[in-house]
Amino acid sequence: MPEANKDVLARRPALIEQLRRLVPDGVIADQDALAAYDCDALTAYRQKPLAVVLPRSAEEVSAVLAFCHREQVRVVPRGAGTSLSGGALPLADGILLGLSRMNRIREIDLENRCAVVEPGVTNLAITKAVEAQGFYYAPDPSSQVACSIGGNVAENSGGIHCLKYGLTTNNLLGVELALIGGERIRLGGKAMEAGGLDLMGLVTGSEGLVGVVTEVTVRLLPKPEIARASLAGFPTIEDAARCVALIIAAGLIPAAMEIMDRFAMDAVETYCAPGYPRDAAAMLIVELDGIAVDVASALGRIEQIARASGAVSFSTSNSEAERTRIWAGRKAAFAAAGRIAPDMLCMDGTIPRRELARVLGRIREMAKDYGLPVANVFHAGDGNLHPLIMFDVMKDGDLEKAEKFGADILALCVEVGGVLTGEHGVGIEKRDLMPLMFAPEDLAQQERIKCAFDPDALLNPGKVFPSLSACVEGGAMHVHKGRMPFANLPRL
Amino acid sequence: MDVFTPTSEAEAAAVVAEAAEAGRSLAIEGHGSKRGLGRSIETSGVLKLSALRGIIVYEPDELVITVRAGTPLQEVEAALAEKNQCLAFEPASWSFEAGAEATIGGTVAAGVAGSRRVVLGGARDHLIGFRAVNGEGGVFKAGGRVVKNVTGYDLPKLAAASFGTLFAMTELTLRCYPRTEAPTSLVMHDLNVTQGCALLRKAVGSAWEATGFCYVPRPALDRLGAEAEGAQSLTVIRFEGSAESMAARAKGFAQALAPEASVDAGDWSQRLWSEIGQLKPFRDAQNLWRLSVPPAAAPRALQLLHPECFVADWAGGLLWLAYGAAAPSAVEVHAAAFDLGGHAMLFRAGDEMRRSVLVFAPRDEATMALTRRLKQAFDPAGILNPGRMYAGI
Repeated sequence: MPEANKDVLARRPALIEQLRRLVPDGVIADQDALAAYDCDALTAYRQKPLAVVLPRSAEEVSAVLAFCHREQVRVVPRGAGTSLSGGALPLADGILLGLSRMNRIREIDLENRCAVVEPGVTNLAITKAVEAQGFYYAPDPSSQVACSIGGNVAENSGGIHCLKYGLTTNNLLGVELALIGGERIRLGGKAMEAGGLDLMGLVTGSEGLVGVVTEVTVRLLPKPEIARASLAGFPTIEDAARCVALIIAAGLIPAAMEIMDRFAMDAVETYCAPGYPRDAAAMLIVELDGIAVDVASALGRIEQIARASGAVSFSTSNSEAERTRIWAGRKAAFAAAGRIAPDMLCMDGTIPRRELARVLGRIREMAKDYGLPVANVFHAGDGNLHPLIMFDVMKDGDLEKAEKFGADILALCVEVGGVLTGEHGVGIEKRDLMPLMFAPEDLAQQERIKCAFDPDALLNPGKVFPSLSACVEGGAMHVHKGRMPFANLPRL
Repeated sequence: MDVFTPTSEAEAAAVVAEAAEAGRSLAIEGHGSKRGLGRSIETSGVLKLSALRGIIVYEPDELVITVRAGTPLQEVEAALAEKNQCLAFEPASWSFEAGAEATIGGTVAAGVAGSRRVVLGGARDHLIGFRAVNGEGGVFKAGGRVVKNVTGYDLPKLAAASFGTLFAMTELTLRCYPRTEAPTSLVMHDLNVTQGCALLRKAVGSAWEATGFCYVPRPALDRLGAEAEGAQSLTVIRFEGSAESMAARAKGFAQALAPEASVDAGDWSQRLWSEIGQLKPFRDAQNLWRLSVPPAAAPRALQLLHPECFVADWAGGLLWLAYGAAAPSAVEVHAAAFDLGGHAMLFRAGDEMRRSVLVFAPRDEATMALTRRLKQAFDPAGILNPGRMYAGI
């Protein structure tokens, strides 16, 4: 992380006092209380922030940012702190700007099929607010009970149903953003398109490096007439993966396609006994939604494809209760895996679907070489892998080994034409792997965008970009291609 | 004026690098089909990308295609059709110049989005990666070749609808989609615009999975040919999918929400949607505006701006407003769209008008300042399509 600014650390008491004037009752400075904020869901990295600031309004966010800009204090935005890539990891010399108290649903406008909400509203709360009227908000990250919509925008969160309904970026209509200077800009609104450059598209997934989301307008979808899930067991995980590629190639776009390997199936069987096939090395869940006649005909074709791919079992839900049962084990998979090993790293590469079988085979070999077990539970439909590497942080060298294993998996994903992260974000976790995927000139171009929003590198520095950059005032800038040897220098 | 027609990305980069060095501006185009779109600008040269042509990789089983920017749109669509696939955002050519072919690069750079925008998104949602030359002649890539990717900034979103003002795309990677048969349309006659748009919004909010929602009044019908004789207006809802599925959905929808509607599953329906996408009703309009507004605001927008001819697509979320000589001023149109929570773009007008009025909606000062800094981040010398969207940018 960037070296802490000693001057800022020395001014801590005065800065806290001034922040308290801007956000009365919303500043946490006590060391014990700060411990609750020292990490997000990537718990291997911890750092207490200078202070936590919890604004209640966009005006307060704006005032805090303008203040930090004037005082050259770094800012790390945080929604609910569920990032799996360390996106909300604090800085010793920076404030942690928590948006959790801005949690009101401002407006539900079903005529225009949208909801206007504050950034701290949880993902699931939006659906809960409109489901009685037959609507829902489509992106459904597994942390949806807890994760905030502002964090979803910052990370461009995905979920199980992105295959058909897209990521956060495909389900937004408008964003209000506070810039580091305190200016607030509105990007989009209730119309389908915003006009001008698509700044909302650029801001979505920018991981807190360009501004702080203060309001979000999301698109609502009508609840499908029916959703049904099928469960197929396969003799090998490669067979399951091939089945997924064949379903896509057949022109079918299911709402979700999820694979679990034997290891993960055993873990959930112990955890919640969902009754998954006992004789299979891997299983595939395929969910279809839409109107009944379409769903039935697609499921018929999928059963044929699954059987032809070697499925040893195939069953389809005939009621909502059966569908829920099929999903129960899948949804508990991460918690169940967490019971098996003291620590776990969840990787997130995406690969072309036809490479699934090969890459899964290679991961199994690597697991043997590293001597660390891996469970595979993943969004097979869009090729988004989630290998769970099990390790014990108390064992000497285990964390380093697990991280190296993870990096090898991601390098493999890039090698076969894929990417480092499909939905968890780069954050701190994959920052140093960015050069695997992007050449220096690609990264330099992205860093110039960062400079256009935040020339002093005050917003979430140290995340996403591995190289050293400096923005020069006045628009023109020099991009130095500092690489890893300069690990202690400021990073964007 | 110098016209450069590079035959490789490296040549294109060299042309831009040289122009940047000399401070010479460049217009970026394929075959010039959209020359009339955006503000009218004068540049010292033209960077013509029409020779960067051809499909690089098409993987039907991955639903992904990578093509050079100058590849004709028709060529891309024909290759996809062979594998029973399509571009889901229904890229119309939007061509104003007789004989000028639309290219895939220009289509995406103009942010084209068809009637399916409501359900399946626009160009921005289907471009997943690209290579480009920035304003210094530097080549860079962004995005990837997989559908789910959050590695780094989402530059494909910024590329779509950037009108060549940030960089010149050389290669594009797009999502493909299974192609469907000819659509089935549900047609209601003679609703007024308030009733028609209300029905369309109900359709969008229903579970019947329609993919098109448009309202076509008499003047626009006249320009579509001798269609629906006697009808004052048509309110049309489109269904796509297998024949069995379309029939079931159209029937279900009609029973629930529009008992008097008639169903058309023939050529008429297919032609109607295609001609609306190609803006056939506006072929002769002197001034054409494109408004994107919250769908429920459509009737009010029409009341305020009283066009000579219009079509409401996207259940009212997209309004095409055509005028002859008696057109409202650009300021009036922008103000009305803004007040209703949307924005307007002057889509077609004479050179003089496109030079002197706001073609794109004005933005607040902070957003404009940011737009300017982003322009500098890609094109510090300001030589790529300068002024095409906003004066001085």
